[in-house]
Amino acid sequence: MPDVLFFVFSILGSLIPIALIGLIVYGIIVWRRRSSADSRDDDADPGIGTVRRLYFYVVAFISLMMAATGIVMLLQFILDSVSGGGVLSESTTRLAAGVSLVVVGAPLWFFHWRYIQRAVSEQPVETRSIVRKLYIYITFAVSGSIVIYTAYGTLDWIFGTGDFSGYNIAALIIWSAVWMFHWLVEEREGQPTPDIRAIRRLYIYIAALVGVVMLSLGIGRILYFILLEGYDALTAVPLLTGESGLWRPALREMLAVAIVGAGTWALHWLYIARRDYDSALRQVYLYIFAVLGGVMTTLTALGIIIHEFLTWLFGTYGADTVAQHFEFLPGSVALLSVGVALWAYHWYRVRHEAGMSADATLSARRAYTYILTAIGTGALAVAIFMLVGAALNLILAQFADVVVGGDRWKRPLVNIITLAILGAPVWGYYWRDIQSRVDADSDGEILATSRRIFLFAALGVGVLALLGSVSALLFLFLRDLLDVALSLNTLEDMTIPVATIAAAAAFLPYYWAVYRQDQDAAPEIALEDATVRPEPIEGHAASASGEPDEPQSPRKHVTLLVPADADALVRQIQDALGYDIEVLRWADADAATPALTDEDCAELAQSIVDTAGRYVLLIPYGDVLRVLSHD
Amino acid sequence: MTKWWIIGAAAVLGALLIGSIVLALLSKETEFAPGTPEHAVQTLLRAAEDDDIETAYAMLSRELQEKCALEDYTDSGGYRHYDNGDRDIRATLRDAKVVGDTTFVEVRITQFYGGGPFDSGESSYNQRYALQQESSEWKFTEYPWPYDYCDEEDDE
Repeated sequence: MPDVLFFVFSILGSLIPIALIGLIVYGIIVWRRRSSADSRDDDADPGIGTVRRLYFYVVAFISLMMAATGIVMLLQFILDSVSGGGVLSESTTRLAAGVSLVVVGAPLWFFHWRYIQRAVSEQPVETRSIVRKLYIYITFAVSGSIVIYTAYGTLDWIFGTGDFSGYNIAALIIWSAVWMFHWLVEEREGQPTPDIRAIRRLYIYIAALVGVVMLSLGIGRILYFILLEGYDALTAVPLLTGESGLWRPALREMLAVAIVGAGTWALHWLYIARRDYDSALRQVYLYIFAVLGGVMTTLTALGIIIHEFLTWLFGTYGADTVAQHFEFLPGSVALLSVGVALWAYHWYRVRHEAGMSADATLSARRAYTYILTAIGTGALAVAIFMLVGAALNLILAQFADVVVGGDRWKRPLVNIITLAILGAPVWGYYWRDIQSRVDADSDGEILATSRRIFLFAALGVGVLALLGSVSALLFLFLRDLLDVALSLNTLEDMTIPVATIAAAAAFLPYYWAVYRQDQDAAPEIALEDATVRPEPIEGHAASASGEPDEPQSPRKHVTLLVPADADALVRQIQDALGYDIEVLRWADADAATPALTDEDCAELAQSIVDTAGRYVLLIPYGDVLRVLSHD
Repeated sequence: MTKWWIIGAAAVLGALLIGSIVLALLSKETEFAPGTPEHAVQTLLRAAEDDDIETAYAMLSRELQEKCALEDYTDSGGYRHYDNGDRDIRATLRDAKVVGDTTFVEVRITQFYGGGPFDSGESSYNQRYALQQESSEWKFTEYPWPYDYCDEEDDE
C-alpha cells in the first residue's frame, strides 16, 4: 500500500509543474488580450521609451542576479570557514568568484537601478510599464524559489536531518533581502493597470499553490508516520524500529516541508491576497486547484479504503494476515484527513467570498461542477463496463469446465462496487445541482461554455466508444464466420466490445437528450454554433446574461483622508471595494472620522466606480465622505 | 450541521493521533530468544544499523565465507543498493518458514530517506533471509540484505 501512497504523492508533486506551466500560459494569454487595449496609454506617454526601458531592466536584472549570487558566495565562504569541520583541502575559488561577481554586478545594478528610479519619479507613467513589473515579479519568483529551497535546507539542518550548509543560510538571508527590497518598492507604487494586476496575481497564486501543496504533503506525511507507528505497535512484530522512533528523520524532514509550505502559503494567500476578491485567477485557484484538489484527494483516499475493505470482506486479499492487509489504513487516513481539510477550508473561503466577484466565481464554479460531473460519469461508465464484462464472463464460464479460479468474479465485483459507491453520489449530486440551475434558468447556464464543452466531450467520447465497439464486434463476427470458426471463443472475444457498448449506451442517449433540450431552449445559440460564449477572464468579466460584455468597473487608485484612529473605517471601505486603498493622515485639530454603515460603504463603493477619473480622493465632510476624482 | 461533522472528524483524528503516539512511545523492539533464526536476523539488522560489517560477515555460512573474503565483502559496499548515510529503517517480522534444513525468514523493510520536499521519502519491500544451523548457530546461506553482494570474481 505505501506504493499506492507513493504514487499518489508523486502525482500530486508532478501536478505542480503542470499547474505552473498552465498558469504561465494563462498569464501570457491575458497579457496578449489586453495588449491592444493598453497600447493606447503607452502611445500617449511613452516614458523613457520601450527599447531603453528594455535595456535598463534586462541589465538591472542580470546584474542583480550577479551581485546577489556573489554576496551569497562570499557569505557562504565565511560561514563555511567559521563552522569549521574537517577541512582536507581549502579552496579559495569560491571567494574569488564571489568577489568578482560582486565587484562587477553590484555597481552595475546600482547605477541602472538609480537611473530607473529617477525615471520613475520624474515620469510616473513608468510605474505602469509591463517591463518594469515583469522585472519585479520575475525577481520575486526567482528569489522566492531560492528562499523556499534554502529555508527547507536550513530547517533540515536545524532538525538534525541534514548537514550544515553555508550556502543555505547565506542564500536564505541574501535572497530574502532581495525579495523584501522589491516588495517594498512594489507596494509603494501599486498596480495601476489590469495587466499589472494580472502579473501580480499570477505570481501570488502560483506561490500560494506551491505553499499549500508543500503544507499538504508535509502534514499528510507527518500524520502518516504517526499513525503508522501506532498501527505497527498494535499489529506488527518489530525487529528494528529505526534510529529514533517517532521522531524519525523522515518525520523531521516533512516537518521542515510543512513549516516552509505554511510560511509560503500564509504570506501569499492569507496576507497578500487577503482582499483580492475581484479576480478570476483567484477563483481558478480556489475551485480548480484547491477545492477540486481536496475533492480528488478525498475521493482517492475513500476509493482505497472502500476497495481494500471490500477486498477483505470478499476474502480476496493476498496478504498472509488481516493485519498485514489493513496496513493501508495509516496512509489512507492521512490522505483522507488532508483532502477533507483542503476541501473544507477552501469551500469555506468560497462561500465566504460568494457575491464579491459574481462573474468570476460563477465561471470557476461551473468548471468545477462540470469536472466533477465528468469524473462521476467516468467512474460510473467504467463500473458499468466492468459489470457487463464480468457478467458475460460469468455466463460464458458456465459452458466450460473451471479447473481453478472459480471465484474470479469477486475481484471485478470489488472494483465495480468501489467505483459505483464513489461515482454515483458525485455524479448525482453535481449533475442535480447543474440541472437545477438550468431549470431555474439562472445565470444563462444553458449557454455556458463549460456546459457545452462537457456535453460535447461526453457525446464525443460516447460516440467514438460506440462506433469503435460496433466495428470490433462486426470484425470479430465476420473473422470467425469466414474462417468457419464461430465458437464460444468468439463470444469471449466479444466481451470487451459488448461491455463498452453497454457503458456508452447508459449515458449517450441521456446526454444526447440533454443536448437537444438545450438546443430547443436556446435556438439562437444552436444556429450560431461556432460562437462560444466567452467566460470571464482576469479583469474582464463577461455579463451573466450572455449579452456582449459590459465594460467591467475598473479598480481605481483611492486615497482617503482620515485621522489616525480611523482603521475601522479604512477596513470597511476596503472590504466594500475589494482592494486596498491609500490613507492620508489628517493632522488638523478638527479632524473627525465619519461613521458609515455597511450600506453607506456599498453606496460609496458604487460612487467610486461611477467617478470619471482614475484617481479618487475621499474627503470627510460632516457625517459623509465627499468623492472627488482626477486623472 | 457541517461544522459538527468537521468537529467530529477532527476529534476522531485527534484521538487516533494521540493513541498512535502513546502506542509508539510504549512500543519496543521484540527481543527474540537467542538461538532462533529471528534473533539471527535481528542481530544482523542491528549490526547493519551500526555499520558493523564484521559481525555481519561472521554470520555468513562457511560456504559463503569461503567464497568471499572479509576484505572483498567490505569492499563491495559500493555495489549494494543501500546507503549507509541514510540508515533510517524499520523492520517487522512477516513470516518464518522451515523448508528442509533451511529456515526462511521474511521481513518487511521500510526505508526512510531524504527525498526533498515533493518526494514520499519512503520505500517498503519484503526481504527474505535463508538460514541454516551450523554448530548450533544460525548462519545465512545467501548474502543477507543489506550486505547482499560480494565481488567474488575478483577473489579468483
